[in-house]
Amino acid sequence: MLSLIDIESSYGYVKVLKGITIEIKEGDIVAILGANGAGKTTILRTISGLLKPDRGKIEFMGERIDGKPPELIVSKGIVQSPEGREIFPGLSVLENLKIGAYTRKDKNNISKDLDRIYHYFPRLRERQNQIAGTLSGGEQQMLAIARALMAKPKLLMLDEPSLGLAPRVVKEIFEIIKEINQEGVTVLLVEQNARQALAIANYAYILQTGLVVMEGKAEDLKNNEEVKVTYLGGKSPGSNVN
Amino acid sequence: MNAKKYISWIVLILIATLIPPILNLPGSLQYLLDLSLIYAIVAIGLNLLMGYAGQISLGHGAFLAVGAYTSAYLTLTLHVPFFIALILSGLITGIVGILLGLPALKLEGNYLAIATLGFGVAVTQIFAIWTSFTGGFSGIKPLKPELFGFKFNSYLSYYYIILILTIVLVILTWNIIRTKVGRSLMAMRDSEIAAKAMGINVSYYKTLAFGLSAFYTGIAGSLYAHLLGFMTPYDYAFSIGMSLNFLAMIVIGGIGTISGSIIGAIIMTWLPQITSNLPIKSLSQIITGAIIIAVVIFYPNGIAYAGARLKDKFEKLFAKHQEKIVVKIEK
Repeated sequence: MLSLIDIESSYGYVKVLKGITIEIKEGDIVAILGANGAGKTTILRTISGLLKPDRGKIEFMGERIDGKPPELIVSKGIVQSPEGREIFPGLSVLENLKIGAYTRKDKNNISKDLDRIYHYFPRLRERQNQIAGTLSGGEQQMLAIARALMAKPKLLMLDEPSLGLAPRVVKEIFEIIKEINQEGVTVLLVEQNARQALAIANYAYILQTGLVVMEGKAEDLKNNEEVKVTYLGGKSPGSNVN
Repeated sequence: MNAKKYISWIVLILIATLIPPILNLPGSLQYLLDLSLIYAIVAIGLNLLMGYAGQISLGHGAFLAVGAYTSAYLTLTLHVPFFIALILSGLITGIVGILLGLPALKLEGNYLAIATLGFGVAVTQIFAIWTSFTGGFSGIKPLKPELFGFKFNSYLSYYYIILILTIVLVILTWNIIRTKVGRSLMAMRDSEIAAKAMGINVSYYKTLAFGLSAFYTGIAGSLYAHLLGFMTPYDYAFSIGMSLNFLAMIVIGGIGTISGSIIGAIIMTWLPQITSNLPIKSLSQIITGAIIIAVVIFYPNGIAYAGARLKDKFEKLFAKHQEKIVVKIEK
């Protein structure tokens, strides 16, 4: 569905992505894992057109999209929920969701989709007239995902949906992500929380300073010793404590 | 808009319509009333740009000049009827606004403020030199408007033209902010990144915001020219000082509110007048300044929110009082 081929991106003179190749199949949940500064968010920004790659090719459903403006990429069906729940704090919950549907042409189906989204996130329905800035952290994250869904994405890109949330809320949100995926939306998930991400993903890439250092089925990575030690907080094979 | 708000606006319009003839104000005060509504139109335009779209402009005095001179030129030299000149002034100033909006695509915050400030200074200088268009220092005399043979000679009759236009523009603003365009402007204000990520063309809306804001100011400029009857490029309303005054209007009245723009414009126009009538004349400006500072301290969101805050306080007070009564009864 989406493939990045040898993508290089930079901020000013600093090269962040040094040749990334990633393949996302339709219907999958693909996770990109890695530490701070590995380039995870940069990948999403490059895909969504907020950042132009220096080199490489991005193809979405057989069409080149690298270097295209963000609004065009959104209208093709790639929608990002940005990091740090960049909601619109001055607008109401409902207005935030309406902004999500900004690029859609099928205005008549919007209210139907609103219902579907409220089904995923019943709390947002209760608060639809509340100013979004007054929501709790978890609710804001839900709103950010819901807003992205309003654009009716074929590929939903989530940037650190677990950031700064209580473990229980994280679990709830990941369950919803899975549910959304099961109803046919392909998901690209960028996470530091490798345990949660691998629990729902089909396939994962591990990123280190701008390069893919490992990739594979989520099942395999979960059981990989190196991954366990570095990303899942497991014991290192050398340690004999307990 | 809910029914309550609807009714309060209608009551306001009725008051604005009926009060002037009932009070039968002397010319100078009626003039001031006309002026405060013209400034209210500018303030609404500026608020659209700053309060809703999150951009900044310190050059609205210059937009007012562009509108005023366009209208004067059209009516005096080209003999275009007033009402057509009025619309054209709005449109032409709007185009100038779009042009000024282009650097805004690259600039933000303080830098944008400086760029618009530069625009404000440049326009006044250009108009001062461009005597064939502006008449230079000796000035020009825009005519009183005429419609179907009726000449709007008095400040009172002219007041109703301004009032109707203000109402039309308030309704227009209301419709802009409630619909897709308004939501997109506010989204851009709240988070440019997220707005882009949602597929909003931020460049388009920034330029649009400048164009719209300048359109309002151009309309106000045309009204101003024909209210004045005589103007030069050195008029205070076209200066940087006035641009800062416009900014003060929306900050005092309430950023991001229509009612706040009107309240702010009225206060900033009338306050200096009222304080200058105090017995201690030399203190007029100091008192005006002190009142503005006090308003900003006590109502940092603007006076438009003062009503809501008062109500809140009363309710809290009342609730406390009730609690006490309940406690007493229980005892």
